[in-house]
Amino acid sequence: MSRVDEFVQEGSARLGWGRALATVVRMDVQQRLRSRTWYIMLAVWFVVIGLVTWGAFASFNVLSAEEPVGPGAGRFVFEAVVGFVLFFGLLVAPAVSASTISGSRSGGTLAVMQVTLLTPGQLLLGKWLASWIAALAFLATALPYIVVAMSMGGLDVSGLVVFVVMVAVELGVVCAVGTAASAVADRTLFAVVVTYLLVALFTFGTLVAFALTMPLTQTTIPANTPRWAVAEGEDVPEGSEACFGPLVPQTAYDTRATYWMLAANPFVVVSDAVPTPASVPYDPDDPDTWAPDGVMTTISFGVRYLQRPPETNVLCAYGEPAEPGDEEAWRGTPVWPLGLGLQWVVAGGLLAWGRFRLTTPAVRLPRGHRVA
Amino acid sequence: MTTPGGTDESGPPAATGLPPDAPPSGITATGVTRRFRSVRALQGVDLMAPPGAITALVGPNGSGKTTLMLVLASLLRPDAGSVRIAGADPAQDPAGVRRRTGWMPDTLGVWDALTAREILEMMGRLYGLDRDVVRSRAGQLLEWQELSTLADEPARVLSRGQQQRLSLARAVIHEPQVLLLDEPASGLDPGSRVRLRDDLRQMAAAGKTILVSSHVLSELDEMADVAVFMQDGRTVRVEDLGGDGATGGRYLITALDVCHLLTVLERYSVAYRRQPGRREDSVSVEVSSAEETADLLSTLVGECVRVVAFTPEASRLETAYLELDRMRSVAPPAPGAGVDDDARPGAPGPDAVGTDTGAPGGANRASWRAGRGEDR
Repeated sequence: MSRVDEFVQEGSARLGWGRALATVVRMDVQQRLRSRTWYIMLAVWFVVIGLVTWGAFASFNVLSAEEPVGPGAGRFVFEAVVGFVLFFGLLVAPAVSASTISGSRSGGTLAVMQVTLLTPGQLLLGKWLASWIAALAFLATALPYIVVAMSMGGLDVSGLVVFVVMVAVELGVVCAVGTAASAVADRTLFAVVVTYLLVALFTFGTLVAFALTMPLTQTTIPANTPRWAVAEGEDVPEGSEACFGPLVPQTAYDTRATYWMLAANPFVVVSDAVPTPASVPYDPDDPDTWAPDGVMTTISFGVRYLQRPPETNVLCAYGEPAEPGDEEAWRGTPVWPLGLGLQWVVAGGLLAWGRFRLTTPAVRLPRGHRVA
Repeated sequence: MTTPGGTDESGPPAATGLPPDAPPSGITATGVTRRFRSVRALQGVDLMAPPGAITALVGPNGSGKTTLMLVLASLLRPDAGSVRIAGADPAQDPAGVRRRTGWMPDTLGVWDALTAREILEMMGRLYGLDRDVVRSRAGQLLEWQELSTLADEPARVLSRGQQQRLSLARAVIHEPQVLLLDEPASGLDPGSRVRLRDDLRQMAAAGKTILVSSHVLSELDEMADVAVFMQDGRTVRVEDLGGDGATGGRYLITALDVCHLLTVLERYSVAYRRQPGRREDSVSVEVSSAEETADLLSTLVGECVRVVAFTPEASRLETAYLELDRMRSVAPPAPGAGVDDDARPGAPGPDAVGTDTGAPGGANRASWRAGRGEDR
């Protein structure tokens, strides 16, 4: 009898995480690598990104007008490419990830893996890593164009690295959501739809929520009338403003209470995480230094702008003229940690639910579904 | 041909970390119930599958065979009852059960794009086997199942029968003590079936516990040692298929001169039935024991009946199965029948064979008498 006990105890040893994850990832990735559609998709992707790069480059030339290639072209083109890669990555990642577990469930291979020593957590994590790797292949395919953008100059390497890393992180979040949804959902189609809806919730839902709550933040700021010095002989210097007259309430929006809603937007997370380029050397006297902001920089500035108190948007608030240089000095607080946190709360919750659904011996089965 | 259960092979036994003479204790299930919402899939299963034997799980579609397999394979938690697989409880120690159990599902799960060798190697890795061990073991198993030539082709090019064989190889990659095979013979050609039977017999001889579910009764009859009948989520009967195989039941007698055969049968007042259709030269008689069978045959030969064939009309398994099926169609469903059925598993053994219990059998006999009357 003691032998049986000994035997049972020996038998309950688990499979190591490294080996479990490596095997699950290898099985999954190898399957993907051997499908022809995979390569066709990557090829199409490569061509499309090429077109976007060319388009961004051409429009930069139009925008900056003066010279064929301005010094800031690199960053502008780069941001367009990154924004596009992120946009399409958000579309590709659900398709890549939300079919993993439900797919092997309907293919009959999931139960076969579940009767091995794999734990539900290992299975789920392995499947997630595999789909993330698949999604990263799309990012990697876009890298040549990022190098092209770099060669145009005007780019700081650290910012570039952060951009790419953050896009990778966002793809990881979407893949986590997709993998978890595929573990929870009975049908692949349902998992894919749920994942797309969640991505849409992050991408558009955040904007909609912010826009809908905007009127609620309306407030009034006492302000009087600004007057600009237009003629000589006035007591204010030319170009600056002076404030005159009685204080009158003026409408303004205090978005400090609602800007955080935008934080979970993947585009905000990526663009906000990137440090603002140290060289913003626009010199009004030198037109060569002017360059249009890239799409990601614009998003980042926009969100930081919303953090400012309402009086900064009102001329002559409290009868004070705006201090020149305030605009530039305003840095705001980074919102991307908050955004990433919100995204991971959702993804983590789904992953926990998915893990529960993969636990065997199973207590309950999905409706109308066989385990095998 | 190598056997997966050979204890003399150097690699595999050490790989699972089991002592070569680990206590084999088979499968025991008592009072297992399981319901899926309103459907009561299992309503009290009692099962004993001893090591070193092949136990057949027989029952009509929807009788709960696959559900029971899933419970035994530690994929499904039973609502009540206890299960022990090689000494481990799937609910308490699923990893312990999985280490010792090989499960071959009824649905073929194949990774299309992976090769047969990769599938075996990766599954072996997931059972904790080391790389070198898993490599040599996969090679052995591919050879054993005659898949070596296809080993490096993607699994989607395998035929259904080849996929079944790969599935069997996958189920035994970690040298389990217990094998759960759900419909392993379905879709196999006759040659592959014979191979499967031999493979399973080999493994049973090596001390493995093997539980096979199937609809192919003649197949099971040849390979199984014990048959467990399931009906409406219960084990209703246990049949020992061991021994010489000759017991009571209906026998088909073919003679060169049928008239002489009939005369002799009538002289000894043996009830018989003429066969309709193309088997006009045969008659069917019912005997109650192996003894009686032997006596009847020697009597016929002694009376100079030139007997060409003397065979059981149906396999024992078939007879028992059809009898259960008949009883089911007559017996009222659910609670009322449940009480009766509960008592039955306790009375197993060969005695139960061929003894008609209750009304349906009796009714059958009456109609048979009528048929005999017409013959005369």
